[in-house]
Amino acid sequence: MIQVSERKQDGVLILGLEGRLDASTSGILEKRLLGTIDGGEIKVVLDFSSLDYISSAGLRVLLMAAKKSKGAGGKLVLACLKSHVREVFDIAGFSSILPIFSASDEAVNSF
Amino acid sequence: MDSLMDLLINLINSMAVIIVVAYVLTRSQFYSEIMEKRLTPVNQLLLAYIFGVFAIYGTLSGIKVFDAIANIRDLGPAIAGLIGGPWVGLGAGLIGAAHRYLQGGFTYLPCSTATIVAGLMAGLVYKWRKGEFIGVSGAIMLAIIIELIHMGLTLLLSRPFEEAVVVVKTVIGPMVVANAIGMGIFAFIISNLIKERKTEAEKRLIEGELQVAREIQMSIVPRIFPPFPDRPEFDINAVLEPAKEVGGDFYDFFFIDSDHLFFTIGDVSGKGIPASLFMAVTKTLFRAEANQDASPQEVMSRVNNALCRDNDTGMFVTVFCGILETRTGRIRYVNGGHNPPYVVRRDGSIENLATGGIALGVIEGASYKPMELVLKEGELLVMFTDGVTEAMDRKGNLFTEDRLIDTLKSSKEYGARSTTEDILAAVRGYAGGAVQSDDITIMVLKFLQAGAGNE
Repeated sequence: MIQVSERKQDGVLILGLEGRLDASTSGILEKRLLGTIDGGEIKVVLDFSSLDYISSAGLRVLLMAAKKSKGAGGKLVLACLKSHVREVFDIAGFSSILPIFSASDEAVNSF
Repeated sequence: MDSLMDLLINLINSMAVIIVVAYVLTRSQFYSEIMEKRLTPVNQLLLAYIFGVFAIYGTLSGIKVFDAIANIRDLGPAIAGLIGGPWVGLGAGLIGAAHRYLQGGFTYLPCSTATIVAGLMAGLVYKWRKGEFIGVSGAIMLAIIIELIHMGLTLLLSRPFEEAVVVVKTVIGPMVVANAIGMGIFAFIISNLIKERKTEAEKRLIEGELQVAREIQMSIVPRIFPPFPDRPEFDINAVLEPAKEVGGDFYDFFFIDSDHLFFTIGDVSGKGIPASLFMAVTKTLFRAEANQDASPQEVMSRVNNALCRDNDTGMFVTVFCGILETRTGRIRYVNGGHNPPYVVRRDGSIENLATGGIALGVIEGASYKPMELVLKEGELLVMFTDGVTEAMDRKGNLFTEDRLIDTLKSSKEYGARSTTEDILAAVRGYAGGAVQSDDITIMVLKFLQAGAGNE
């Protein structure tokens, strides 16, 4: 299961992810993210502090959303990844193409 | 007004009885045969009999109105005709009509006639539709028309005329409504049943196709072990267990010249059909690009670029690939976002080839860092996908790299096949009965002895 919460800080939209991001839940996040980007949000931070697990299906959704955001002139940034979640990004080589920060304030200020 | 309401309620009561019985009937094996249009004489007789009994029940549960009986008898033969055809409708109609005829009374003639007409008309609709069920609205309309005909017959055939008019005026509302509702509900039950069977059939079709797809997918990865019995320099073994019928993991190995073995292991994002299609493409691209003049990083880079083009769905694949020089045990390799393999050394120590790179299909023009290692005689390169390290037990705990390392440490005999089997057994044992959540792939390459070469 996955829950997505929303809050705004300094004009940046922060989406908090809670639970697991895998093949069964990635559809939910995909809809939410694409809706957000279509709605014109160009500064988006994804807060991973409550996310326990990510699979390749989840990585794929993030990739698609990042590409779409970039296409719309925006940016998608990740923050507060738990260590084993971070490892997944590192191994797949995504850490070099998706901006990752350790604290959400840092992420917000990066815009 | 009051008694009109009572009339309606009573009719609906008796209709409810029929609906419940009908529902049970439609879930029976006997009824499945009817659905499949296997109308044997026995089936038809049985159907006519059952709905004839419904018709009689309709009469018996009818409400006396003056000298007539308001009821839902016509429903029995009407439904029988709609689902079984004219003979069945006629049969049920005759049974119901005969019983009604014997009850006598003011309207015995129009009522008996209407019952037979109901069965015949519904049967004709069946014929007109060539056995296809007419649907809820059509059935309701038929029921209404039948009742209107019934009323018409009453005015036509019952004397004195004045009394017939009074009866019709009283019962027409409740009877049309009750029959329409009863027919509507029954038609709804049948429609749902038809939809259910169609969905079942489509599901079986898809499952059949998935089975074939699995066979195809399993046949495109090398499956004969040992694959090169005439090559004393090395041994290689692999297993692939998709989580579903088809999956996104793959492995491959082939000679690019007499002394060089190209091998790959990969994992497409996701699982199931989409991943399996991407897997087939990726594996084929590697076969196409690998040749004796290309380095692993060149091959990886070309395959990556090919995958990035026309990739609308954002699929990506992690790949580890290398070239073994059979004369020396030297392996040149690159890693594209895949789980770094382990090397088991002669002294039992276990190293991890910690090297990165980005998964393929993400960014066109990505470059990959060429690396090298040498396997001495007896040493192993253990490759796997995250289906191994992320295998879960029933509580959701992961197998993890640590357990993989433990398994390697406690192996008895370090053969290519035995090591593969040890790891698979450890993963299966750990998972217990938990459902496999990801494709599992293991490939072990063991260097045996330096080759003589073809100088």
